Amino acid sequence: MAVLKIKNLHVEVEGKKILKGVNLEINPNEVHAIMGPNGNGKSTLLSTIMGNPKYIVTEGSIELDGKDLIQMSVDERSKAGLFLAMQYPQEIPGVTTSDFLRAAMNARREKPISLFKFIKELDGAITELKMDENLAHRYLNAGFSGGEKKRNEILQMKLLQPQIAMLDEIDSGLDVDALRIVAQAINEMRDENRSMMLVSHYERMFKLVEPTHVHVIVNGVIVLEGGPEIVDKIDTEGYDWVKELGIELLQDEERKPILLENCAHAGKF
Amino acid sequence: MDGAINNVIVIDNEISIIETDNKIKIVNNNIIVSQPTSLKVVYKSIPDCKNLVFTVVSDLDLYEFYEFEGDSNIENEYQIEPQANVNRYVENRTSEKFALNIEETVNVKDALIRSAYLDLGATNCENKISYNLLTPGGEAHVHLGVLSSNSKKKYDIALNHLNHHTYGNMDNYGIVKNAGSLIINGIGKIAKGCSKSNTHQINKIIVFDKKCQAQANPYLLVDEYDVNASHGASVGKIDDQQLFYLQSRGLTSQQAMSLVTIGYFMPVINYIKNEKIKEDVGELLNEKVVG
Repeated sequence: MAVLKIKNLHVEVEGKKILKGVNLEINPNEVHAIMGPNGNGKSTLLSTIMGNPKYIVTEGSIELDGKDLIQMSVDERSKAGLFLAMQYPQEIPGVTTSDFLRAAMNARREKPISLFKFIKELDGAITELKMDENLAHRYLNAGFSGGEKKRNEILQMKLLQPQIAMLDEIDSGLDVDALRIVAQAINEMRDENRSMMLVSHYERMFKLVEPTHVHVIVNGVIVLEGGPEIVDKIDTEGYDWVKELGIELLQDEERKPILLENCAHAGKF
Repeated sequence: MDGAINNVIVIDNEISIIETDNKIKIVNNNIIVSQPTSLKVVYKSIPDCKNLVFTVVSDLDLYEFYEFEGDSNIENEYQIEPQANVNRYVENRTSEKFALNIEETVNVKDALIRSAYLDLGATNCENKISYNLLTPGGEAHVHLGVLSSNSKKKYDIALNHLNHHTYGNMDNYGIVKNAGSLIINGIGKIAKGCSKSNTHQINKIIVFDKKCQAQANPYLLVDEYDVNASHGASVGKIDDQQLFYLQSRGLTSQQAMSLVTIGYFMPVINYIKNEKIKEDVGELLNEKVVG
């Protein structure tokens, strides 16, 4: 039973303050939707919990069952039950998907998994997710389409059976059929011992995987919390209502008209 | 061919045939392959003549292992005759810090040669490898995987397009650690009149620590229009986002680094047809790269 407690979390990326005091508690059997405009800290929150070295915690705490998560290495966090399906999964040429998956499964076992059992589990997951039969022999994510990479993240989640699964924009790059398959796999993973955190921009994702809790992050803080009704509100009204709360919306980046000159000097930006 | 090795030659001052199916002939320092077969050559010390000539008129699986017992200079020539299909795997297994100077000239007529070089040896070396594509239809694929750990290594690898309609591709990968140094010069040359030729190369080096030195230099020397040519080169440390990805699945940073580096060299295994050698090389990679 994993309980994640985040208190007053402040995070910087390359000297820029992204999270400015996030409080959150995740208990088993809960599915938390993290919503908010681009560039306001959703992915930063998930990456920080997983321990991405790019993200520096400057204040606050993250505890997993009372243990200080920030002091744990990335692999210790994984072995403690955390999992992050990444928005942009890395390509690792030369390492076959099956070698990698076996290494990852063995990392959390005392005895290595038998080859027979491993192949059976892998084949089952590949069939269920309607993935390429040759997947096991292909190099990890190398040359995969965007949709294949996302499904491969879900495949890893199924094989690793985490306590707390964090999914960062798992629906982007998926067509309607693939989205349905992925959503079904996520729903099958829901159970009373497991919790999930989902980041997505789209209402359709949260119609397929219905959250128990919804949080809206704007400018590095949670500005609104509640149940699934918030998803509908955002779908119909966008985020403009946030301004009524006296909070400024952050744009992902400053928008400028595109001039040829800009392209030529792109290296400076 | 099923990957079995039918001929074994050991070069230890003189050329000795250990096993043969009589599909190869040796005349002085010339090794002639006249029918489809496979050949393993083990180099221990170089004969006085310093050079061997391989004349290949038929399909061949060629394995060459350097197990030198002292400083060595070798100048080999390979004549790949029309229609031959050659698959070649060269490995430096020399375990002591000798100096190696290897000059290879591979003359390719209307034939196909695929060559992989795996150098995890402890030697210092300055190697010059040239593939000369002599007649239309000549095709060469070269794949280098070199580890320089506390040693100094330099590789010049050239694809010389000396006729029209020739194809050359090379992928050169290096890892430098324990204050080692490595220079890889990739040279793609298309001579005047050699139109419709393709020459491509990628050179990549991963550097482990600050005391290492590395250079990956791509050269394209093209003296003809109507050709395809590309090159790329990079030198850098292991990508920390790749490591983060693997660690987030439970691998320790040591395991993650090993997996990425083994992955760097693993494609050379695709050049090995013999299952036993393939297995040995897999183990060797685990031992040398991880250890």
